[in-house]
Amino acid sequence: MDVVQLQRQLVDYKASLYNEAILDEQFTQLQELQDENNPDFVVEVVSLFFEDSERLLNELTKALEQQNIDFKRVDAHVHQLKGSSSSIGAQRVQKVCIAFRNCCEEQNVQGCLICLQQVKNEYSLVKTKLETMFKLEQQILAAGGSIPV
Amino acid sequence: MVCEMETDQIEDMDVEVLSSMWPEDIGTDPGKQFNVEKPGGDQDMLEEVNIPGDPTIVDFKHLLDLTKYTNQGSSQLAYLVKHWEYKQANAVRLLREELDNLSRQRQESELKKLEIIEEHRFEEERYGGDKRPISILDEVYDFWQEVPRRKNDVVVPSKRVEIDAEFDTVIYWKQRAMQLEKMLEASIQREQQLKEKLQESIKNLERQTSPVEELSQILKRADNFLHFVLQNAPVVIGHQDKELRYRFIYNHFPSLQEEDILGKTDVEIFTGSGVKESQDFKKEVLEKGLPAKREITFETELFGSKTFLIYVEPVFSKAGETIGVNYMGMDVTDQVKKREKMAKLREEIAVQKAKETELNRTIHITEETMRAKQMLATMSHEIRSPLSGVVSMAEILSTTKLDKEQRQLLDVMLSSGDLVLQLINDILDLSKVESGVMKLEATKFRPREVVRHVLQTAAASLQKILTLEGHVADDVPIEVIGDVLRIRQILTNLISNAIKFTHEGKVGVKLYVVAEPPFAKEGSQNESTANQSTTDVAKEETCTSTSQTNSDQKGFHGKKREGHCQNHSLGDEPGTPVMNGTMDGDGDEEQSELPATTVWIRCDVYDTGIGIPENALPTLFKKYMQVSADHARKYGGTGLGLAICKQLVELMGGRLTVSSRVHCGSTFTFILPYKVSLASGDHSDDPDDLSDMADHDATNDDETAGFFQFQPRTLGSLFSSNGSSRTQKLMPQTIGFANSHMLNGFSENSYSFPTTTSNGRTKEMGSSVEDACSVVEAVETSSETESPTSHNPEPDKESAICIDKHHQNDANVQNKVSNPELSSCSEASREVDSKLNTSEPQPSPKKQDQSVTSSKSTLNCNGESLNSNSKPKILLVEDNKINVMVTRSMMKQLGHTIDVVNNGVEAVSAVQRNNYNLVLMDVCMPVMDGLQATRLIRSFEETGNWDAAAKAGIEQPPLSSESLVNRPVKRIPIIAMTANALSESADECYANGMDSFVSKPVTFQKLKECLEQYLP
Repeated sequence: MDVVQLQRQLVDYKASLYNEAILDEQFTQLQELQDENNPDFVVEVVSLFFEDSERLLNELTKALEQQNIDFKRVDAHVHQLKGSSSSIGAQRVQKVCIAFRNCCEEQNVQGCLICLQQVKNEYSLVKTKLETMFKLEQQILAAGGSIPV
Repeated sequence: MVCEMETDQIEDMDVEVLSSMWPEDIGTDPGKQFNVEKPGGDQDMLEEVNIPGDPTIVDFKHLLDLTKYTNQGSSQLAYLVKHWEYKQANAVRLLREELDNLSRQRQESELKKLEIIEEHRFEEERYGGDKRPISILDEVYDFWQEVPRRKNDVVVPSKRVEIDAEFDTVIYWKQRAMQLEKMLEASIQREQQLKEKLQESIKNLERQTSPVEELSQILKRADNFLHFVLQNAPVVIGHQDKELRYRFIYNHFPSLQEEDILGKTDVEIFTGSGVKESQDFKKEVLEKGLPAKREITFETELFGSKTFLIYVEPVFSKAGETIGVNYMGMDVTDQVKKREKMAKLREEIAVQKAKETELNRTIHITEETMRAKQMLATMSHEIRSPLSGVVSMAEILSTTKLDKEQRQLLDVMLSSGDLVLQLINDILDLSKVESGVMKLEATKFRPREVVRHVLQTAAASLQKILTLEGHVADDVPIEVIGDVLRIRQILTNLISNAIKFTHEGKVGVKLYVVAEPPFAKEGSQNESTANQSTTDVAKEETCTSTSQTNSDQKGFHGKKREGHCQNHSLGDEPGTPVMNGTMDGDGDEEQSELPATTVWIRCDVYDTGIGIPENALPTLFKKYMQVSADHARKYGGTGLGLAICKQLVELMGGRLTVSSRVHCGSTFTFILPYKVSLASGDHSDDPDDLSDMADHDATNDDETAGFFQFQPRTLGSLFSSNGSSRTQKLMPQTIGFANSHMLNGFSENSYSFPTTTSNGRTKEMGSSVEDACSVVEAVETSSETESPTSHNPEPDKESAICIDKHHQNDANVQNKVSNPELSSCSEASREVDSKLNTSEPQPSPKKQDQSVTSSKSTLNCNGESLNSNSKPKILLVEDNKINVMVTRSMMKQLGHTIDVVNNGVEAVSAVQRNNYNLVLMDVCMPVMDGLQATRLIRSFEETGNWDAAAKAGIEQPPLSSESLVNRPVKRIPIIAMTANALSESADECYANGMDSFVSKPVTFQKLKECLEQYLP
């Protein structure tokens, strides 16, 4: 595929991510942190985010399956997830996390379960989107182009 | 008395009849059991009827009352009267018939007489009558005679008058008249006779039909019948009046005389248990008016312990009032005893059954548990095999060329895999021990080496500033026999535990011989005899190959040495401490003649750690138990380690105990019996012997060295053994490794061991190396046959090659080598990063950059020296890895390198050790949050001491590391990083001593502003 076309596609795709409020300017910050010394910074951070989030989501799923839910623990996990997601700018995940924490505070099991499902959905959405984006970037790089900023 | 009133009446009216109800002939007979009071006799009735030993006692007067006034009595009486009347009537009727008959006959005869006179004719006369006496009693009772029937069997012969004179002559008529006259006379005579007979018959009848006699007969028969029936029955029959005084009593086995009974109540007669009860029971019947049965056990002086089944029925007067009770008791003592026995038996059977059920259930549960455990073990085993595959494949993969991301992923994979493996191994061990499958091996080993090696291994993976030391007392034999693998496992477990819970100070092992402990002495008698008896057998067995006497034990070292010299008189020096050889082969091959001796060695593993609260001690060795949930969170672990240690120690016949003081440290002590052997000839089997000639000194030092220490943070001389010159020899290699970017000094040290220590250690330490690098493997195999020390120039060379190789392989191999050691002891939560960043690599700045960017570095003392004084020191306290990564990256772009710690406790420790110009503090963190950490730091700044921190459980900083005392205490700017959550309000941050706050997510701009504001 044409590099230029790919580049345009990437730009459009990124724009859509911002438009759909999947990502916010924090992600831009990340991208700004990436330089020739740190060519894979964004991918590294995001990978770490994926890894961490998956762990947390698993923990949360497990914690909410318990007979006696340890809301403190759940809250701690959600807090972590919220911190991570806000750090990479995955704002929709972050927003659900806020609602999630409120449910925790109310010890609302049903609410927590709903939030967990939402968080999972949002997470997989952002993951898919970011992965697609990275793929595009790789394609561009493979085609010899540079990533448009 | 009620009855007294009626006495007169009775006597007036009924004496005749009733007095004869109890026949006199019975009453006076002492042998008879019925004793009837004579009415109207002496007024003192009791005195009169007193016949010793006679069981039947009757208050006759009362009996009269009874018969008259009770329903039964009166009905019986009425019946008797009726019966008598009936018989009387019958007799009268018969008599009347007879009279009628007679009078009719007489009329007839008179008529005939007239006829004869008139007609001179004689006619046949009919005569009938019955003179036989007739009983007035009919067949009411079967033993009574039949009432005779009237019979018409009396025939009066009638004769024709015969005259032989000629008819109708004077003579004829004269004769005829004469004959008729005679006949008439005879007839009159006969009539006379009949009359007489009639009179007689009437008289007879009168005499015979006396009702009294009849009744007496009846009663006598009844009495006989009763006697016949009751003769031997163990019954007591009695009647008591309204006040429960005995009026009548029949007792087959009298033990009291009647004057003692009649007129008295039960309570007045007897004393003892049961009497009152029976009295009450009778009263109850009396009140209720309903007959009842009850079993009462008497315990009286008179007849001992007896149980009676008592039947009591109320007696009513005609007016329907209760006037007393009839009482019948039967001795059922034997039956009750039998019954009680039966009940007891039944009870026992029930209990037995219950026990059986319980036992069955327990067996069932045990079986289930066993099955579950077996299941767990099997599963663990099943999991382990594929997992090992995964882990080793991952290890192999890690040697291939990978980019950074892949490496990170792989590291996670490896460390997680190792953790799971460890967990599964723990579970397997535990279930093995519990199900008794665990088999102990008896092999020869050297305790000093084990201690040293375990410490080395621990030091290699040490991520803390701790001193590890080992003391082995001189009296500990050089070689003992035991299950070295298990002992090493216990020791490793205890030491890694100690390290885990010790943040500062030291962890050490002490080994010394002790007397046979008391717990072992119980079984020692048996054991020793068993030993003696099986000595012969033992000789064939592998484990008891050699032994020594007590005297040998005392002078063990000297003799040992001598033994060596003697055995190797040709110049063979004592063999190298090749663990492989002693462990696997020698024990089996040796068959010494000497009996084995047991020596008890005590091993203390002590630390200066956080200690164990007293209340946690009892559960310390329980499975899955940790001191507290907090500890579990903070320190991780499965809680299986100590349980396994304890079970292993006990399996080997020893004891594991612990003593501890909170904040001061803990000491785990295990005492184990070992067999010892003096035989030193085993070394002749050692293929290394000849080649080890030159290593005499070093080897002997090695064998007998009693003290090992692993100092922290002293590169190059990490391992010191007293009297050993090895450290110096080690130096070049160590440095060489340091240059080749080994991750920290400890792992360098451990890595250097393969070329310098015995094969056993090489094997263990290098097992992963083997997989990872064929060059290393080559070194290893060659060193197996070489001297264990670095004396030999050849290993040096080889290790140099090895180093070169490492240079080529660069970080890959580094990681690989450090992985097993590190991950084996590393805490789960930080394993991802710890391996790569346990410490900052020193030399090349490029490397440093790489490691900094690739991951966050944990706080390290080495890092301090890197920071030039001109650069501000910044500490980031943040638990979220992503945040750390982002912040670090931003800071880097701003030109700052930062130290990172993960929680408040670590933050305080870091501040204790270093001067920071700025602290970026997350608020919400595990273990200790940012607010508390800030308070503690502020407290230090105000007071100049860390007392508040110590109170919160954070150790004092090592004074040697920093000249804290001289350090001017100035206020460090602490910037909170808040997530804008309700719990992290800005006010709270300020209230806890924070200077400012940055809301998360941190942005480049925010950080920049913050730094500009707080860094000069």
